[in-house]
Amino acid sequence: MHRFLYKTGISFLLLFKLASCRSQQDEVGIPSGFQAEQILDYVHQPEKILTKEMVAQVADVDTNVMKIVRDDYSRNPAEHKFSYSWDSGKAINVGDGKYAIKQFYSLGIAHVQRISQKEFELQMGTAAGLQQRVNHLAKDTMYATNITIAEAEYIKDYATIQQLTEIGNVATAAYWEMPIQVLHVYVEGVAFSVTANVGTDAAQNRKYAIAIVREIMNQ
Amino acid sequence: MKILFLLTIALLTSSLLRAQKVLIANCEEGGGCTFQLSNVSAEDLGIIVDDKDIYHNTKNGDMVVFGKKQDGTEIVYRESGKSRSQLDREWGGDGYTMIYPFNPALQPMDGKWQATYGNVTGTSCYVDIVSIFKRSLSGNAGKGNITFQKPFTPAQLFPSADMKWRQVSFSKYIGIINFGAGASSPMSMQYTIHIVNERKIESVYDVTIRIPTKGNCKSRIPVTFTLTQAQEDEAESEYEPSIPTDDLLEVKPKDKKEDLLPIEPKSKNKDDLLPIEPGKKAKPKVERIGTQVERLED
Repeated sequence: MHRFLYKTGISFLLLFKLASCRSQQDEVGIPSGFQAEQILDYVHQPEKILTKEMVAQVADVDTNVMKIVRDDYSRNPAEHKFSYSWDSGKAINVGDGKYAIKQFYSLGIAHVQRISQKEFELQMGTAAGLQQRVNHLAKDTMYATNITIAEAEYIKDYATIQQLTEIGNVATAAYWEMPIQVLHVYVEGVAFSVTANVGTDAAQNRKYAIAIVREIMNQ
Repeated sequence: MKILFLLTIALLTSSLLRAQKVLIANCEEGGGCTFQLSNVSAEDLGIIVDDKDIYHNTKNGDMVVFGKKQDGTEIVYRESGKSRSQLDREWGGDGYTMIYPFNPALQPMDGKWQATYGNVTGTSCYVDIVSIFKRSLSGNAGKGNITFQKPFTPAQLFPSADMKWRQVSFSKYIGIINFGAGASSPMSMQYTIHIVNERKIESVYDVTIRIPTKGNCKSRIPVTFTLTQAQEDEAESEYEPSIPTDDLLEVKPKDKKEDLLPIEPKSKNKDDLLPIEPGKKAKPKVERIGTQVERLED
């Protein structure tokens, strides 16, 4: 009897420890001395916000095989995106099986901007963020009317399938967006998004994204 | 009668949908995709890229993918049933997408470019066009500074309002011009531009001259543009920090501790001003010119 209770107790302790470890993996506190303003200092040098070494640490991949992908064509810096991609070693078929292409994974950072928490929550909790994007497109003279219309229609359709889930204990506030699998983070007047494309498992991609946030905030 | 009417409506609707401009996805292995609205219908695009599936089967919501693999191979196919985000992630992107007015991945660098004419080939004919081109062009080179429009437009390499441009793959454009009255004009040219990377552009002129009773004379003239010095490299290599000139006197600091010269006032009370007369403003002390001036002799 004593042996049974002892073994049961040990099992519960092990399970509890395992659960707390998993829980800690999904948590990102704000380290003392962390200054969110420093993220804004590097808005035009995102490779200093998210380094190759951070991605290597999180994804267990060699920095030498990483490719930088930069999307800073928009005139609005808050729309810029930056990521590291690498060959997964697998191939996928496209064009109804006509062609085979290499499957690449990527982890990145996007939409670094100064914002209030109220504004951040408004964007996450409502369609205000998407509406803001449409408004910005309409004002930007780089986009012809037909592009603005096509993009607005796309955003309208996307709004019907967008899902935002609040993630507790990550920075000040965080939301996981599906189906595009992006983690939006707010901390001390700064917001940024972490993109994760490491396979098709959305839950796993979310873990990767949280791990990236931890790396950025503990830099 | 009703069936015929409905069938007509269906056919008309179908052709209207197919006449809509199609969404083009420019995708790179490991780089995701960017999107553009094509300036031609799906049918026309199918003819341009010689793809029967695109010509016959493109429907509303489909995308035409211009893909580029890491080894440089370019592929074209119709994508149906995927969202922009899914397609972007399939090619290694982050899932964020937007429609651009151009393909942002194609932007040659500004700077000094060299144009080199390759081996001219073609059919020998009455006018022996090939020999003429060979003598005047083959192996020749020209160079100059080019500042490319942003976004890049192939029209900059052949500025003619009559040239009609089409994007036919991820990094290739074809322009066609008829010198004269349409397809029956005596001379036509197809100009193919392939942006290999931001430092190299390969192009080919295909010239056709139609001579009555003699048939067509065709010649092909390849021209390669190579960036020899980018504008950024120029800035780095020729940069010499210049000492800014201004109206201030040169400062000669005595040591590194401070740049200020020591102040040595003559006295606490004296300055360059004349003594102040009560009720009047202070006047600067100016040395009088000597009164003895030599008279100029006539």
